[in-house]
Amino acid sequence: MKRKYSIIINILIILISVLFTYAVVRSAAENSCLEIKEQYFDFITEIIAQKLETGIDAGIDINNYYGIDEIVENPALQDGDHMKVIVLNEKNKPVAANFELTAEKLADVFMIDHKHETEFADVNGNRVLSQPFAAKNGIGHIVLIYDKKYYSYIDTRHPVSYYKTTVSNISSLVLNNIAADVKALYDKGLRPDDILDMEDYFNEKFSDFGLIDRINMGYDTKGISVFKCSEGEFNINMDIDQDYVNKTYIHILLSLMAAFIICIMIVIEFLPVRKIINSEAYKYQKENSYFPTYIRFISFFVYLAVYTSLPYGAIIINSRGESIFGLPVSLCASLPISLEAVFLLLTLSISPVIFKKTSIKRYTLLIGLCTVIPAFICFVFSNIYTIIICSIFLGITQGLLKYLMNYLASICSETPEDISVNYGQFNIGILTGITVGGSLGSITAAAKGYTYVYMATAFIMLIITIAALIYMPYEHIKQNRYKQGSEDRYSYSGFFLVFLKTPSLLINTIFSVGVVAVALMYIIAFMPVALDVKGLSPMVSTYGFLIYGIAGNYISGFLLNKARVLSRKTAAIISMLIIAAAVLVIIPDINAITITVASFLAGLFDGFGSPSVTSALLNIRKAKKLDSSLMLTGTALIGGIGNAIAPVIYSTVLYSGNLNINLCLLFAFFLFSGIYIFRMK
Amino acid sequence: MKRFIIFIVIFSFLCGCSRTNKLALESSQQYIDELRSNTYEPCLRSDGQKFKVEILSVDPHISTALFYYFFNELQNNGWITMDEELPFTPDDVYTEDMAEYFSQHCTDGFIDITNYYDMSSEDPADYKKSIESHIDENSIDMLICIGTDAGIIGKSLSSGRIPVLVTSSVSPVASGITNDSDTSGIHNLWAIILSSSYVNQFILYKKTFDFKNLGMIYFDEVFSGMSDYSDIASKTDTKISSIKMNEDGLLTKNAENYYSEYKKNILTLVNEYNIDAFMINSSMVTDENKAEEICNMLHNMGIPVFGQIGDEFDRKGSPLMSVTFSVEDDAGYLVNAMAAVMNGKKPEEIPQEYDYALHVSINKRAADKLGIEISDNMLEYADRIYY
Repeated sequence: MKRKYSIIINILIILISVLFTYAVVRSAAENSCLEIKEQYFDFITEIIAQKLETGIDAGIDINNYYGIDEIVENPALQDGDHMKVIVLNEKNKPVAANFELTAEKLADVFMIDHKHETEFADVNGNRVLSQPFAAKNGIGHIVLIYDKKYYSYIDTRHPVSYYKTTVSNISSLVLNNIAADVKALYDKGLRPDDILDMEDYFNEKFSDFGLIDRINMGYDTKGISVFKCSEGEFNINMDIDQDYVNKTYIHILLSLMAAFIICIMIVIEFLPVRKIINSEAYKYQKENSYFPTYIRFISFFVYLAVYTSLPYGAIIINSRGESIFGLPVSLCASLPISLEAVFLLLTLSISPVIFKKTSIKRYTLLIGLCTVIPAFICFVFSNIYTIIICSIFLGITQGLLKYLMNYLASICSETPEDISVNYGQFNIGILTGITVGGSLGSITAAAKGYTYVYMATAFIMLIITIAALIYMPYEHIKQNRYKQGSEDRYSYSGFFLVFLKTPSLLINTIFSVGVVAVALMYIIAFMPVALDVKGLSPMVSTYGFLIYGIAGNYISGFLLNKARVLSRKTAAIISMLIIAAAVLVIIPDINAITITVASFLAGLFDGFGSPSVTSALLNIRKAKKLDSSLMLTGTALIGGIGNAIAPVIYSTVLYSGNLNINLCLLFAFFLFSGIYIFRMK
Repeated sequence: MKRFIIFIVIFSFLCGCSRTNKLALESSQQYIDELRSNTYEPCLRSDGQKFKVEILSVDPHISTALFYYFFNELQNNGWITMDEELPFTPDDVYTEDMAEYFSQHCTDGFIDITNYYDMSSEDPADYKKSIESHIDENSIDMLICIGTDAGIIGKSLSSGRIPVLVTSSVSPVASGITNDSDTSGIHNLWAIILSSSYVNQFILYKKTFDFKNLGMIYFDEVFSGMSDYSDIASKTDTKISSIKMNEDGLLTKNAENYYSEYKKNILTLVNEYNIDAFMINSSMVTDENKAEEICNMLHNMGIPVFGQIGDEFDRKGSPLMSVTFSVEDDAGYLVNAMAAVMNGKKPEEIPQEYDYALHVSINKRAADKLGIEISDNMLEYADRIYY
């Protein structure tokens, strides 16, 4: 029986991995195809806008422009079932459309908040392109509203070959479009030599069209024939930007590799648990030795679920320009992660109370529901309010989970070494979960859009909650619980009293652990948003998280071993230099390479720097005088506050003032902390 | 109770989240309602009979194309139904033949064109008497007047009793047909106002070549649109130097003398008034060969020539740039106004001014000779390019 289950599970894992990888590659190809098509729509609407502007330059008032309906009858945009074309005047009122105007169809148009530049947006499941043009008394817009699914749909099983076909089709459409315009010029009387002089003018129309490098015109050259004249056959041809196409292929390949790595990491985390489920010891729930594996498994999957979406709330809020209570958008964008950290801290302090009043199974269910429901609601009703509330619940989830894992680590350990091993596995689970979750979120965002990350979070959390409810050895835990009793590990009031009496210790804690807490949020609160600000692909974020995880999980362990020969202070200073270097490397430019290096350094810092600095603090004279659990409570509190304010700091760095200057200040801040640690007594 | 409260909280929250959608829907519904109030479907008279419409035209040459597109628009908007596709184009049919064809092939509809009067060939007493008697007998519901003189007569004959719609009048306000340009100010009168079109044309020419002193020769201020040109010239810091001339010589056998005098006046404008551009008026220069001669003369002197509104110069493309309006646009606007009146709106409530799309012709050879760069945008926008 067990062997059968084992085979079935193996097959399922392989199948899901293959399907997931295929889905990722397909989505990458779909998005690439959609991108080219959207460039084409952008190109067409720019031409229409140009024609309108020329007429308006001649004094036409768009509100009384009889014959404007012809403007929207461009054949390229005539797929009436899947695309609505509408011209808006400077007051955002429709003046022409290619569809029957009804309130429901127009509602999409009225929901769009136009900015005075070309803009793509997602509204009610449709894709919207808003192309501005200069009207007499303001800015009008040509708006395309089209079915994203229809235009991104790949109707073959071979996404890459479909992409090739799309490139060919779109370039033909563009060439035919230009050919028609050139023919029109010839038909209205312009001489071929004068048409040739307009080659640069036509090429300017492609300045935003990444796929196309250049249009060439000439007599008896290769390409399509536009007309025949005394000089010969007037032809036009097109040079595709091969770099652009190659970049797409590389992007698809990177997506494939990232998906593959993520699948391997998930399988690696899953395999040990599978063994346990099949074992006799689990069946009779007798062994504590399997708990490190449970702890790592659950913490990995929960953090995977949480970090699939947590870093991306800021990006969604920024991209939509949403705000609440009249706060600046950049500040609102930092609220999700800040509030997540605050509520994590608050939940940690009240978790013991909740835990005492309920069974472990219900507590586990609560952890799951605290993520599944808000994440699902956030996916369905995506706006700034649901994003913030979802982030709060993600913080609550982590707080509840941390308490449970710490509790399990202590009561299911027979010796102090076991406790250390269990805590270690918990931390590995967290780090690996963040790594894979962050990468998975990036891939999901790149493939389907940012709102889908919440769907992924809800789905993963649902699976892990069900798995935990079925497979956790609750009887065994209950027995241990009755044996040892629950412990209340946190006492913030005690911590406050002590620190009020020793303000220098508080300052030391702030400038060491507090700064570390800010630095730890670099990969989550800074990196994805910085990439978005610079317009870099989410794929860079994917690999950023992966490299961060590899550096943090494997290389930092090696460093920690080597650092045993150094004093704690020296190790702490080195770790602050590492995080300072992570900022320094991106000051000249934030690009794929510098972010990758920064992510590597941030991963090293996470695995090596955090324990080093905490250890350095606990080793100073004043800290040694206090109870270690009290100090740990204090560091947890200050660390939590540091986590909470970190997103605000990083938002300010990214959005306020000069970015390079802000990054220099951040570098100086981390460097200062290293110097301060050096002088701590 | 707890669950109920939680449900209410979540539900309210979700309702709040969809607030944005609701607002958008309300705004769009408001817009649709506004739009519908300005859209007019074909309808019959209150007694269930078809509307009876008569047409008074100054000149069949003006009205042929307009007539053609007018009937096309009526058919497109459902006011009439024809039993076959039109077998002619505006260029190969006479207006009276068209009128007869429509009366024979119109199978169904909401209006009847009961009479067509051509002022250039009919005795004024006859058509005036006919129109008046039809008004007295209530056998006419609307009079459409094509041309300024037709509009003046139509206004006088109607005496406010029936709606009169006027089109193809150069300046209805200056000629006294209507009181104002936004709306007519006369309860039964409506006219298409083109004044902004002269303005738009002027702006377009000035953007192409930034002239400071534009020369014009005219015979009648109203028909030449002088007040509109003067108005926009003053707003754009441009001077207009003009000479009024008698057009009588144009219609007699002394056309050569007329054109000699015309050229003399041009030279006066060039040498004494120091013009740097010239607007050639299609009613002053009707011979396209003479127009070409005059344009070449001025271009050789380095003075660009712009054609005033009309397609008379389009055939040879002599001026540097000329602008025409599409009569098709005219017809569409006329049908809209007619539909509004038949749906109960008063003519004085209907806006009169609107902007035509400018159809531009460019003389590339002249532009190259004068060293004027025509933008690539304008070349693409233009309808015709000559050399």
